[in-house]
Amino acid sequence: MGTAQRKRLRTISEKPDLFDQLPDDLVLHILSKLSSSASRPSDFINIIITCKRLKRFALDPLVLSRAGVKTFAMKAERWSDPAHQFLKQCVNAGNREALYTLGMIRFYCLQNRGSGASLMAKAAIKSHALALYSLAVIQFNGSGGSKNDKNLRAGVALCARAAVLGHIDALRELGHCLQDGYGVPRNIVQGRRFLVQANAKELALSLRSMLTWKPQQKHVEEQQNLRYGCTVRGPAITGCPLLSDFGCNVPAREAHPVNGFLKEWFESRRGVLDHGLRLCSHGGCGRPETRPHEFRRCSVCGAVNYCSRGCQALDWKLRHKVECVPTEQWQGNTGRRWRSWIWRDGGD
Amino acid sequence: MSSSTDSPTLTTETTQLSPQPDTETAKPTKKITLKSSDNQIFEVEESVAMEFATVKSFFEDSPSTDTVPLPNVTAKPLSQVIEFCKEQIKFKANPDEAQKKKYNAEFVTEKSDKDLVDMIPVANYLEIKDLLDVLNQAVADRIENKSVEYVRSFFGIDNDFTAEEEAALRREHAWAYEGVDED
Repeated sequence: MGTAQRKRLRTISEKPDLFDQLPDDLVLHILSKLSSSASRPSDFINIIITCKRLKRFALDPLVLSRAGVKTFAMKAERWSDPAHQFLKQCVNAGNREALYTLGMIRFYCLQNRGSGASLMAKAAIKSHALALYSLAVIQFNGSGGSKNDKNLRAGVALCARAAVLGHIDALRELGHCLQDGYGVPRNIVQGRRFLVQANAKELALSLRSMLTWKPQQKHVEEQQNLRYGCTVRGPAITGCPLLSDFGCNVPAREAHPVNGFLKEWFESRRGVLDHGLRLCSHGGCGRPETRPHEFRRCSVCGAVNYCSRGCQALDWKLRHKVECVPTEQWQGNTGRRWRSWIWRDGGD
Repeated sequence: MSSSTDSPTLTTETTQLSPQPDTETAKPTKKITLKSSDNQIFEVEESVAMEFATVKSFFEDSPSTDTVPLPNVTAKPLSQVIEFCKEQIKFKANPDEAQKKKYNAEFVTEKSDKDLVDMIPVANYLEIKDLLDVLNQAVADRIENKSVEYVRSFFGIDNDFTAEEEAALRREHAWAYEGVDED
């Protein structure tokens, strides 16, 4: 295949054509490596524009199925039908990251809840921890439905699967559920154990990232944020120094690009958030409410709201700790609010 | 199969650790001769040659031969491939992932684009999977974060899109180009 074309190229070309020496399967192999290690969409999309042979190979299901998470790290303001099309092609190639990314975008941004959830479920079946956790958040909140659509048991079950795959927020959520008897019979000791595990994993992760730490633009921005105080919010905030339950500062975890997409989508004019709906107050999340008062508020100040305890815990260390001021409300009803504050404050 | 020397490293130099350092011939490290397409002769230790799955199966089929002709392989990439495999054998005897990673990274960074691409078909023909992985990743890394024009010149690709086709493709994929400097 393509030999005739390559022969033609050789006659036109004066320079040595390195590309001609490479048989098709090796080109596919190189492009698979590129798609999985690309650090931005353009790294990979460039290939499509170079020539017909490379375009054909770049869109080969074998290559698309390997595409890594950063190949889909598109900007919300650049969202377009071809971008959607590209994600769909990768979904058809069985790419887990594409399933999750498109699932989140459809569910939250395009408000196509059924199709979004089903894409995330397909990613979850392929053991995508973030997809399992995102589905758990949807179940806990009854997102896309009414208050009565909350399914706490399903949320706990999904969290447990994500936690087994090493998802830290899921493990923390599971710990809180066990402690509070939320969707699962109460077991304070086991819950506490999971919370300790979540923190231990966080520490291990941060130690590993410290060992491979390279000064990059992102870190410079983070340091600036620190210098200007924790109240600065901006796109640079992708995670936060956590290990929050024990009051230690560890470097930020990198959020999934789709969280940045969601946030941009609703903060730019691309996405319209219906009146009375709010975004999760954790800057690195971007999940919007799908009905009024879906998310729970901070039980101390009532001024911020979170889609999950994971986001609450992350935002607490990053920002909210210094902002949170008790209001008169705090003595009032705490039914819909987080009940984990006292424990968290104690550990700090 | 490798040899009876107990030394952890099995390079050419290790022959000197054997009881009679001076006689190169009658030693536990058997030599195998490889002949490139441009008729250059390479003498490599058996352990190194056995890294090449192609050479290995050649020997399994006809054990009596002592020269293996490699009609698809020229001397320069072959010598570089041999260099790589010699190092890999050291790591096999003495596993050190960090050192191996470092060596593999250095091995590819010091090569020119042409050397890299020339080695890929050789590694493929000789079926050296580790090297093929390292090389393909290195090529992928070199064309990452570069312009379309750079990728074309890297591979020596002639653009076979018409100006209109290319403009349409660029428009279609504008979503991917947020914040990228067109250079």
